[in-house]
Amino acid sequence: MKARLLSNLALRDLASRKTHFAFALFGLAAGSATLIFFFALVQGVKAGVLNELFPVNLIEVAPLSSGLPFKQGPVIAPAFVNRVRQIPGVAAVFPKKKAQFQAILWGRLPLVAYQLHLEAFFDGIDPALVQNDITPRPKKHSRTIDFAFLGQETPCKGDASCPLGQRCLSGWCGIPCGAGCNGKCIDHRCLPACNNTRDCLPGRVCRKHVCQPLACRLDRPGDALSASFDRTRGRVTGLLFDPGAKAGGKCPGDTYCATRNLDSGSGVCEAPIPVVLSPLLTELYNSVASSAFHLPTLKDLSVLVGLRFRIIYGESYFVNNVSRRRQVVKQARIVGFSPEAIDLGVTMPMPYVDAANVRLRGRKAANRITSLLVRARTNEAVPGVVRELARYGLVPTPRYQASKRMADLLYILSLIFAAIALIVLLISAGGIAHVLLMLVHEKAVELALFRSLGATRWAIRVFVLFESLVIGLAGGVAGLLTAWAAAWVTDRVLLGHFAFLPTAPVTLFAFHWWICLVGVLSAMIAALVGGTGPAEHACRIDPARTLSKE
Amino acid sequence: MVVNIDGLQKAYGTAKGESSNRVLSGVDLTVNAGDFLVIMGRSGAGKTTLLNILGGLDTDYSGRVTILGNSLKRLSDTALSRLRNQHIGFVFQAFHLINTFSALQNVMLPAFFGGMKIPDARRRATGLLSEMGLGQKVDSPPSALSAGERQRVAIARAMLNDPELLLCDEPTGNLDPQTGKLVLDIFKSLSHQGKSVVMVTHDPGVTKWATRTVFLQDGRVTEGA
Repeated sequence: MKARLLSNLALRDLASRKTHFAFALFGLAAGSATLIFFFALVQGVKAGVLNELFPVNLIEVAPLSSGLPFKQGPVIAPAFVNRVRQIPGVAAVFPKKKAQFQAILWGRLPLVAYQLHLEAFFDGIDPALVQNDITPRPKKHSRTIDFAFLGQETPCKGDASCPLGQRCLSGWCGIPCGAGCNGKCIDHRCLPACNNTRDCLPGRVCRKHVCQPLACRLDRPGDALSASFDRTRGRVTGLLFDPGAKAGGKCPGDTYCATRNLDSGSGVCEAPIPVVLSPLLTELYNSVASSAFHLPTLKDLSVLVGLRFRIIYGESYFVNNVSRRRQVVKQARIVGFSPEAIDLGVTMPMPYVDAANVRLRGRKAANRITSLLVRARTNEAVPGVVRELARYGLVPTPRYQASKRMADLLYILSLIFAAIALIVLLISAGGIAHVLLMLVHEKAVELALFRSLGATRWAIRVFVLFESLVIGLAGGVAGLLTAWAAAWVTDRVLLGHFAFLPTAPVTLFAFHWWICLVGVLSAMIAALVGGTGPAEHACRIDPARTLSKE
Repeated sequence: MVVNIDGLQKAYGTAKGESSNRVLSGVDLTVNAGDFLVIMGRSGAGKTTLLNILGGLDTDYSGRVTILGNSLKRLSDTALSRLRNQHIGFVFQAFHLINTFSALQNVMLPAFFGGMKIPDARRRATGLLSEMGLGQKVDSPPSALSAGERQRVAIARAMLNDPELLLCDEPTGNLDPQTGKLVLDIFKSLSHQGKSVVMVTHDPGVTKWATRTVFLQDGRVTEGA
């Protein structure tokens, strides 16, 4: 049977049985819409919320407390990281180091008239881990907001106060000259080569084709001596100068004069430490802190990008176990937000934490990897990777387990909704079978005539199935449009309530092409299932009897 | 020889295992090209059953029926459908036109089940309708046509694929005498063109147009005068 006749007859039949087909179509549209709506919701929540906050294929593992090989107590030895990289299904491994010291940070929030003082927690990660998910994205050609190690000069009195791989040379930690030095040797230190200052990290100057630290001195060093932390009042007092003030430090660009310690007025120019925050932190601020402290809520995270604040390494509201001589003031700057950042605290590139750990807790502390972020090649590879990691005594952190539970819950929900949609579709298939059977009875003479004119049984079967397919297609498209409309309304209603969250997604739904296709196809398949019985009935019509009866 | 029937028997089964109702009991009949064969008999004699068997619409019989050398019993559904489409034309008493289609579309219907291209079918259908005197009514739906016009549309439809055999089941049964004569003239003309026309009727007046008349009585065929 030619397609032209098929479509002509199908449209005519649909038009002649509008009410009946409308009911059948309604059922199909409802089933298809249910399927598309909930699949898109599950995928949207998974992609827009869960994967953003807790990427399922990024597993954070930490060692069990019992002693196992390759570990130094409750931490992971650096050599072990390479072993984890060899596990099948592992795409990348990113060590994570927590700060082994406490710190106080203070700074001024935008639109707030006074300064905030907070106990701060830190961790250090490989910048490569967050380069792709940092928000807002760094602007092109902008070095200032890169999340990267921008160089730091560490004063020292011996090799033990320098990070691994460095030695104490002329009072500063550095890589000793030797065969592995790619730059030039100055005072036994291997320093990067350059043609002009632009080739150097911020705070360095190009002299004799070598990037050299730029020494600086605060204008009023005496004031630095009076800087102290008043534990009773919970704030820094007596710090009359701004350690970052350009006028005082005479440092180029946006670098500041980083002094050797709290009591020193001399130091070297440094770029503020780039840090990233967790989006959860800002949500916590908006939902709890802003109302408690009568502070404005943050609707857009980007207002915080570029914000500079100061940190006193080694100081705390709660403990006092770091000598004043070891404490130091640093500047940091928020460069963006990442779900990989520590939930309550700030996350900085690993070398900064290494240097601070060495300074405050010694070389051994700097060597401690506290957890690993293991990226699996696929979500399907995750269970195998987790099993393999467990063999080495590494277990997922509660955060990952929570995300896994959420992912499992979403999966179960999607199955439940798919089952509901399937039931609706099956019921509508029954409706279609009923309508088409009625139609076949009414059109028996016409079908018999087609047989007498040369239509095969197969052609008659195709004819009826084609009609059911047309209804299925119409039902599927109607379902898709309904799902879109329902999603739009849901977004408006639900997201309206969460507008105060800076990280609230634009939509809860992800209408992937395959979801739309599955939705429409499921309606067509249900219609085909419904049309199968009537099609068989139609092709078995006895043309001789049917035509003779008339 | 277009049709050859040899020892055709047909019985309709009755409910609950009662004895079957034998309608045809040993029919022997041949139809040659250019024959205008009229089969007469009283109601229930099996005329329509014989016609349905000839058209391959009813294959539940015993005996041998050959159309254009093809034994109908041996043909698959596809081959039988192709034979009906290409070599046999049906004309029914009730016309069996599709009311939602125009006269032209009704005539073109067989082309949708066969190999004829649609533009060719349109040309041929238009020509046939003109030959039937319906050149001005190609776009009219069947409801806008008289009974005679509808039957002429049905004849044009039967002739679309230029079949060798035309099977007509009481084609004048729903027509007034004047229109009936017109239709019979068409069949006569077709038989003169070499088509074989087999027509069943119980109207004795039709025999004047036929080249042969047979009577179906007690399940057997007897040649008429």
